[in-house]
Amino acid sequence: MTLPKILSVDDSRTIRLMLKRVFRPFHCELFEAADGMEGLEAVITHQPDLIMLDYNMPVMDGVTMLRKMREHDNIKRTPVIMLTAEDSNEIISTVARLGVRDYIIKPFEDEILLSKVSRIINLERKPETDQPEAV
Amino acid sequence: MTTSGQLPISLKDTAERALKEIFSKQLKLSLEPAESSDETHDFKTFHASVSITGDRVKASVLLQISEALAAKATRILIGCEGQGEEIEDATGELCNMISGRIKSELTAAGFPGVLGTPIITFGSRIDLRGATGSDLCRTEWTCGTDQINLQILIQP
Repeated sequence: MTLPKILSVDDSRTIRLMLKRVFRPFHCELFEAADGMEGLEAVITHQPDLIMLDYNMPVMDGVTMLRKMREHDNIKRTPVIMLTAEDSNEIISTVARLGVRDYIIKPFEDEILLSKVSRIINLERKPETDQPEAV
Repeated sequence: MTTSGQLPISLKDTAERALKEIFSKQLKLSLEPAESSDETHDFKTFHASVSITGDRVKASVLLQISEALAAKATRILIGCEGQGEEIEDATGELCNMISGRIKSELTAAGFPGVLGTPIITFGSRIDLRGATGSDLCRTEWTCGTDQINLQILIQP
């Protein structure tokens, strides 16, 4: 079975650990990056099926990472969900033009996040007795 | 406490909405308003602060919570016991979320800005003080037996 690959790009270790908790009950591979630059490298290396992307990050912000992704033919169509405390209309419009599939404003409820993710990738729940640490 | 400046919104109401939304939605914890007293200044806390900066606004949001509550919040957020840096980071993320909601209300009131990166320290309680003409709001809360202090300072 090929596991869906999810990349979390957020400078907050807490958010990355929260996503690990949220996805732990599901068959998937979770990768992490702490800024847009690391995120871009991780997208090229791991070719994820979905990216959960923050906006405000040091080194390279989420919008810049999206613009850079659009320059690479092999990753420019990778689905992206923004997960951010930033809710300005200007930024939402900008990322929509860059092809972002959905936008989640922190704080978020696990069920809403999973519902939005499930519209993009197939999340298969692990049996209840089989929930080791997320990969 | 609220000082009176030129803002068209109530900082106290904004602080209450932001804090309650994050605690109820993200942590599933309820809050009760509390009074400020000498005791609230005695306990050691985590301080997390985030700036909101724009052409018409320069604000600081300061969240202060006890070690016990920070550890509990971390456990809820990440699903296991957190250690030192994880607890600090989680406290910063809570302040980041609260500041995001406050920034949203300031933007709606005509004062757009961008969020800074959370800064986290630990020690005795801090009280923000503003220059003449600033808006300052200090609110006190309890979550079970734990104390919470949220302050917003808008510089002139």
